[in-house]
Amino acid sequence: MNMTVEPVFLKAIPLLRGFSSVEHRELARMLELVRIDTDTLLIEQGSTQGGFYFVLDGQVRISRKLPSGREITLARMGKGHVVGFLTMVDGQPRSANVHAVTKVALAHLPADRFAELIRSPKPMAVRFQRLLAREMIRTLRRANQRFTRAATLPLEDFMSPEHIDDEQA
Amino acid sequence: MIETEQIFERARALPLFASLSEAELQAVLMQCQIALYLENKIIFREGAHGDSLMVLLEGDISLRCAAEDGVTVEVAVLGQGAVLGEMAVIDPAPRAATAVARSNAVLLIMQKDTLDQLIATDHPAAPKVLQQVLQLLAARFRTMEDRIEELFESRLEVSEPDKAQAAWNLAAGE
Repeated sequence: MNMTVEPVFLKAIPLLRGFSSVEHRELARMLELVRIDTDTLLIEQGSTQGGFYFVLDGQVRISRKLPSGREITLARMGKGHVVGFLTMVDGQPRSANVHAVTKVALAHLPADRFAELIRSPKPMAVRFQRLLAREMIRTLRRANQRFTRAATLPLEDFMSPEHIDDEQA
Repeated sequence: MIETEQIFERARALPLFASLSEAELQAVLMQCQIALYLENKIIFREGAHGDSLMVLLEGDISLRCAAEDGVTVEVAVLGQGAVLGEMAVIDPAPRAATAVARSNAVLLIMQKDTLDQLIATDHPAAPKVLQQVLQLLAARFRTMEDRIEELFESRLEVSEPDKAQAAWNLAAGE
């Protein structure tokens, strides 16, 4: 059974900062509350299933399986972060796995509703589009920095504490 | 050098503006600037504040980054139709590279203020342009992830794969 998402939960999500209470309620009506257990696979690399998720509580790990079979962690995401936007935006298969590291509560925006939201000219939708773009940009910039360090620094330097990001920041 | 009619034609052909109606396209272009850069002129410098999106309507641009010891490295060459600054127009930040005109170049420039204004006035072009910016960002994401994969399957894999994997995972917050 699907449960509804209380609009108040959306206030803790940085992506939605600047949304009015009315807009939180409007968005909450499009969402479904999902609870998953530790170690559950939320999104499977290669799949096109699922939707877009706001992490309300708990932690997920985003990882990518390489052709060699090796699996690398791309990020850990906790409360307030969003996952699953890439496939929702471009329609291509999921580029990574998303696993629950703890018990996780998520607000799920199903694919059809996401598609509606990112094409809608309604002011709330347009604001969401811009905020989502900003979230993607910031994630991309962090990944870029990490990539540059991994590609250019000697491993010992790359592993030193000052080069480690805080994804939760 | 291209003429006004060609500017419209080329802008119409860009994915960025593909879903705009003729009236919307004209309204957007009225708010954009056209800039001409002669060969070898600097368009923007690495580290300079960036808050505009640019589309290369004609010519070639070289993107260069400062490497160690003051050496400058060419990291990309962009041709007609290329988009730069799709991140800066949403979230201003220092430019990641220096852009230099490799030939005489014509650029269409959209300032952040212009996009903000389209959004603030509920202009029907706003969600259409944002939709295309999201597509561009998604493509950048895919490229980044492919590069990470390539890095692991080539350079790092050859030397010390377990250590490289541990370091990467650590940096990713593991």
